[in-house]
Amino acid sequence: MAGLDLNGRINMEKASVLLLDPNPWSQQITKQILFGFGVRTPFVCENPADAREILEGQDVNLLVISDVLGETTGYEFVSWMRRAGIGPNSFIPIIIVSGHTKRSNIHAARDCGANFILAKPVSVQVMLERVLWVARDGRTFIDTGKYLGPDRRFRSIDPPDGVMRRRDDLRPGTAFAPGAESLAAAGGDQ
Amino acid sequence: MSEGVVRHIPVVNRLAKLIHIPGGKRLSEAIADAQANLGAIKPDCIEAIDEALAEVVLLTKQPGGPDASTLARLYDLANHINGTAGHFGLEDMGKAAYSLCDLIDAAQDSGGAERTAVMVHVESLALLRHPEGLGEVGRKAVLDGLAKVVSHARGKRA
Repeated sequence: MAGLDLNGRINMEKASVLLLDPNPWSQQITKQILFGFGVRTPFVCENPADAREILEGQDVNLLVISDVLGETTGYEFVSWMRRAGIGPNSFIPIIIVSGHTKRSNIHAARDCGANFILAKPVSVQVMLERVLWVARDGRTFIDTGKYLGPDRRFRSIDPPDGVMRRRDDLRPGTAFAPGAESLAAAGGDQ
Repeated sequence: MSEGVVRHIPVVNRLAKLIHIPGGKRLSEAIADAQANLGAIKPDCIEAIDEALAEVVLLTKQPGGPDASTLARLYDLANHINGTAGHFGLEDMGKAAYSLCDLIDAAQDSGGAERTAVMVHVESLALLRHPEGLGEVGRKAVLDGLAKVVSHARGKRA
C-alpha cells in the first residue's frame, strides 16, 4: 500500500459518481467498493444510453466505466463523452475498469481520453489509490484533433506509484497482463 | 480542427474539492468498509463463478473444435471469471481465465483455436477453483503450463 496514508481522509458523500457496467457481478463489485469509500448515491447504469441521459442532465464528478459495454466499448463511450459538448461533464475524471484487453482495442484504450485504466481484478486499495489520484489530477486537457483528454505527458502530476510511464505503459503483454494492476492513460508523444 | 494544431483546455476538477470537505472517513476505514461490503456479496459471486465455469465446461464438451460463436462466448465467460475470481481468494483461477482470454484472442486472429489448448485451460480452471489441494508449487506449475500453451499457440500463428 505504498503511497497511501491510511490516516488520511476521503469524503465521497457529496461526490456524484456514475458507474457504467453491463455485467451485474462486476457492477456489484465496483458498487460495493464505492459504497465502502462513502459514495452515497451512485448513478448505476447497465447501458450507454442511460449513462448518456444522466451525463446530459446531471452534474457528475467521476465516471467509473467498464471496457466492455456489449455492442460498443468503454473506450468508444469515453471518446464520445470527451467530444460530446456536455459542459463540465465532458472533462470529468474517468477510470476505465478493464478485463482482458483484446489486441485490437489497445490503441483505442490508449487514445480514448480516460484519466486511468485499471486491470481487473481491481483490489480495494488500488481503486482507492486511483480515485485519490484522479481527484488530484490537475492536468490540462489537450485536443490534437485525434486525441482529446488529459495531457499525457504528466508535466503537472506524476503517475501513481508503481505505474510505468509513456511508451512502456502500452507494451502489449506487460501493462495489460494479469498482475500489472494498472495502466495510466499515458501514451506516446502528443 | 486543423491537423498539427493543439488546443489546450484548462479543466476544473470538481472531485478534488468534494473529497476534501470536512467529514468523510479515514482511508483505513474506507478500505475496511469496502472489503466488508465485498465479503457480504462473496457467496453470490462465488456462485456466479461456478455457473460461469459450468457453462465453460459444457461448451467445450461439444464435439469438434469450438466454432467462432462458441469461442466468443468462452471469451466472455473467461473474462467474467478473470474480473471476479481474484476478489474472493481465487487469484490463480482468475489468471488462468485471463490466459484463456489471451488464447482465444490470438485464435480469433487466425480463425480458430486448437481444441487441446482450450481443453487444457478449462481443466486448469476447474483445478484452480479449489486451489487448496494444489499447494503453491502446484498452482505455479499449472499457470506456467498455461503460459507455455499460449506462447506455443501464438508462435504457431506468427
